[in-house]
Amino acid sequence: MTTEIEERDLDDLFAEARAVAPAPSSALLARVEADAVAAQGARAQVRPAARRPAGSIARWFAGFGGGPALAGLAGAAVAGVWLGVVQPAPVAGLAGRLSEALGQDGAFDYVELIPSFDALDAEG
Amino acid sequence: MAMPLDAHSDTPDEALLVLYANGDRAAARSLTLRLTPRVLGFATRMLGGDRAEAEDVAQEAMLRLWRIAPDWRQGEAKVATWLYRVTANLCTDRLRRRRGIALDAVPEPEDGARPALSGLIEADRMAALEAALAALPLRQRQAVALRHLEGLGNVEIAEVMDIGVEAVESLVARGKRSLAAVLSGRRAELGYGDDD
Repeated sequence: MTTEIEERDLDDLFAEARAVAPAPSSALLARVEADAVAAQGARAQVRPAARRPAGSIARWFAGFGGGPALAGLAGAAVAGVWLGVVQPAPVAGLAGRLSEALGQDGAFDYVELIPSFDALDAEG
Repeated sequence: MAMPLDAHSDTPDEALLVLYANGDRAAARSLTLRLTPRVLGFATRMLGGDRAEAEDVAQEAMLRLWRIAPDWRQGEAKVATWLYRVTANLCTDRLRRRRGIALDAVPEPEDGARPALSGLIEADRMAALEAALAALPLRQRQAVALRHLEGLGNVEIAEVMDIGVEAVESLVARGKRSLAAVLSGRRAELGYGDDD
């Protein structure tokens, strides 16, 4: 008579154990589901508040492409005003060199890269 | 409390977890009904049949799933695999606290190290199996329970235990030999005939 446990006996035991696997009680299932719902609720509470609708000034800013685009526009405008007021030497020298390169004579002896207000006024 | 049937019986666990993270309560119920029995069964076997402690572990493991749901990374791991790993870790912590020793240092059981199995009747076989499993070193117990009681494949067990497939095969084989040794001489008592 064989008394040792064999592989086949173990397989039988395992099969029986799988068939009678412990089932969770309804109380445990209820606790687990309550945890799930509570975790969902906790996350909902920490979600960021909805953003306020933009005001008219914000919409106007947005029409230009937002803050960064407006900053670029403002920078370009300031640079243009500065060039017009100061008329730095490199720009004036460039005008002279352009005149020479174009072979212009005294009848048309300069290129006005930065027209004066008078010139603009004369042209209407 | 009456629990309604799973409304998402054909939906994969991962998809249900995404639905849950987006606030779907039906997904919460479906995951609860689908996964809690598996976690509880594994925890019960790992904890030597201690049902109350296994329920605590199951609830804690599921709670960790609920918390990680919004950050779940699709395709990295199966939900069930992740849960088995969390459950194994929780059980290990409890067993270590319970015994106050490093279970991995427990030596292989000797042939004579048998659980008390006297007077077995058919209904006692599961208790005998649980007692024999509890006598195994922890890693062997995990591997055997996942392979033969939870029905996982070796690849998935390797992911759960964070070891290679060959190591899983070795643990399962050694675990079964250890089980046979623990239950040795009890074949007739366990209700198996002496037909060979």
